[in-house]
Amino acid sequence: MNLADLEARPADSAVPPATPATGDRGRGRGRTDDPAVAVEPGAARGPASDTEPLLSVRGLTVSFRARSGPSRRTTVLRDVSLDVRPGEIVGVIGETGSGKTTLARAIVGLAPSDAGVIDVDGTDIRRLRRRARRGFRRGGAIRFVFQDPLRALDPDLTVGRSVAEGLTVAGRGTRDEQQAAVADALHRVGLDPAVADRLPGAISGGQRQRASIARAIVDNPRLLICDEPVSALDGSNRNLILRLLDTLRRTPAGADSAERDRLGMIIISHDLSSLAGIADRVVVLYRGRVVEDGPIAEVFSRPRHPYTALLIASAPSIRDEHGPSPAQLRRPADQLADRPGERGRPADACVFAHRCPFATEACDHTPALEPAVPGWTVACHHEPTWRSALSTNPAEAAATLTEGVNNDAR
Amino acid sequence: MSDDLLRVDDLHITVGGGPAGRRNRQRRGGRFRRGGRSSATAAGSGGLRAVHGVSFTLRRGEAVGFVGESGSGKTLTCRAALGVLAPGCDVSGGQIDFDGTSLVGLPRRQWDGLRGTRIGAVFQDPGSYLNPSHTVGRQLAEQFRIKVGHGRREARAAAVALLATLGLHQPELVYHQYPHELSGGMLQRVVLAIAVAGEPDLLVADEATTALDVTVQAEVLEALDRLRAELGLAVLAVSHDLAVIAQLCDRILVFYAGEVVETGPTADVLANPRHPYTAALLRVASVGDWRRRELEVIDGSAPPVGARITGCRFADRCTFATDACRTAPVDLRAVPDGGPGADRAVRCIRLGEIDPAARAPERAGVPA
Repeated sequence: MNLADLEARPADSAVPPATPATGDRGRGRGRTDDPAVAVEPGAARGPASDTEPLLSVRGLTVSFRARSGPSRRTTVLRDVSLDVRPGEIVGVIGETGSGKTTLARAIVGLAPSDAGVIDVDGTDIRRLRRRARRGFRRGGAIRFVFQDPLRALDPDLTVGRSVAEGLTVAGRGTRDEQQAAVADALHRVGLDPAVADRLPGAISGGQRQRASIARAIVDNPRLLICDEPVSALDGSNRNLILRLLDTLRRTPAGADSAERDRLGMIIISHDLSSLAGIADRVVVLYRGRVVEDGPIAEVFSRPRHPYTALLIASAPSIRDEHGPSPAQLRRPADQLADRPGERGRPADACVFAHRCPFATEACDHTPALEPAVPGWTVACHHEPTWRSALSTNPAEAAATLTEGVNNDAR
Repeated sequence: MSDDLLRVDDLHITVGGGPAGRRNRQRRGGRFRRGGRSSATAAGSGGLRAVHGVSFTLRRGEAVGFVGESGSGKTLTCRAALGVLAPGCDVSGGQIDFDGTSLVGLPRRQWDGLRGTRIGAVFQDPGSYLNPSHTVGRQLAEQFRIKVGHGRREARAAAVALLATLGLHQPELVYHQYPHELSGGMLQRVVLAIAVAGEPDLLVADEATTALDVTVQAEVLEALDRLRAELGLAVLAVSHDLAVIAQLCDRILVFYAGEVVETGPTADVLANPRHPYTAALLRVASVGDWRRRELEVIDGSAPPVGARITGCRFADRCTFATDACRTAPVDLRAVPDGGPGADRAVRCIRLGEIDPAARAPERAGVPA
């Protein structure tokens, strides 16, 4: 397809019916350039309405102890903010090491976080301790789907018992009620009830991933976090699982539940095209920072951050592309510093500056994540201008952008 | 000397025969000795037929790609061409001819003269093909010394130059690093360098970019393109990702359940698929489509390895299947209107009657 098709589309077609007019209010709060706003939950909460986020992450920072290196700690996530509304699917993309998995794990408390707010229904779950935390976990508001179902499911438990485990641990309902809930969960993910009596090793990969989704939705969570749920599957099964996730967020669990109760989701995936098929918004992570956050179809068809543009251009495509080629968005080889911070750029430079062909001196300071248009935030000093520096001829583009630099290596 | 570099003719591969099958039988026999189950396992010494009559030719300097779901036989076929079939897998019929040498049943000693100098290979996980206790430079220079016969200094210079050709930014630095110090994309380029150090005629790339990030994948694919241009390398690429094959290969072979169901020039096949399976594969593939849409699924699942099917193996999942499809084996037939020299063939008896791509109105029409 070509870009003209995409641009001709009305902008709001990418926004799900559940989140009408997310608009300025939602995104204005999403700004994280002001640290006071970022860390104070009271200031972040607007008037209650149907589109109030289910999950609101503000200024989340995660660091791990480094075994070596100049500083004792490695910061894996820095000042990350994102919102998930009921019935919304937020995709998270980025390269290996960008912090996608750490973000997912930190939200559910599997990785310790240093600072920030993780607000679920008005409670900052980062501050919960001991009993309250356990209560929250067992309450089943957030559930996690792992990448590799073979490792996530206990090989010695039948599928039925694995799915029931969340209920039995929380001691919820009688045995019969639990059985009914398991049967219902299996039905919702489209698994044959007979699968309940089999072991994870005896079913196919696609069925296994569906079993692990059934396990996650059995106690009707509000939010599902899926870490690469389809990476281990082939094309057809991959689409089947994504379609299933799409159906789950469209159909409320109970007959009497309102819009507000619809399942929100975070899906981490490196398959950009499949993600574009079901997600509403996308958050692009690079080296632990959010560089772009906006409606997925628009972001993918006309990215506003050079890194997003590089990701999109690099994704192999069967059709002819009209966008820039990856070479146009890469820095000429002889100009690449091997590691950021080591040469040239100071430590607080834009995280992408060391690879960005458009970087200038201004990029020595981290750009704030600011709304470019309502509902679409970008962290780039050159957001309005870099695209005009692109020319159709890669060599020419490199020449205009990197004046005075010898680029005959390419 | 002919223009054909690799010719595979009516190749059949069985799995679960040989040593692995025997080992399994022994283990199971031990475990279930009292139940008397040992005789009931495995399908005799023959094993299960996993690849049925695959034929193709690869010309010098040409890039041919295999696509298909897991278990379709694409990897087995390419491993047979490398002589690295897993224990228990056997070539049970057919011929593999590499530039005049028959590779089926070739003695190990003769393989050593081919691999590394005439045929190079790259696999999915570069980390596991390098020795963690030697620098990558040493492992690369070793190839130049053993396979090409360079001296120490010469080998080193050649290694650094090759690393630079492959787009590594600081080849001198990389030369002295250990595998654990390099990222996946850099490692894959080092493995690629080792594979092409002996200037082989053929490079086999089995899911070589599958484990990499898209940005790195694009760089490795560009490096492969550069090598093809510089060395006149023929490439045999295997991937489940249609888009990767589309970018890399001149011709494509679509595998399904151990058979080739469609073959032809990549651009033609992808623009105008003639087999329903190819069309379905295209619909589910990641195609750089950024719209919200109904994601397509191929209903049903592929038949298990070794399943006995009389007619078309795709019939059970095909929306165009008729009774005639299930009665007799279907041959790979040349496409009559494939255009001049297009060399297209399809394994479908309804070729010409149906338009497999037509079942996807969503793709061209309004977004779902």
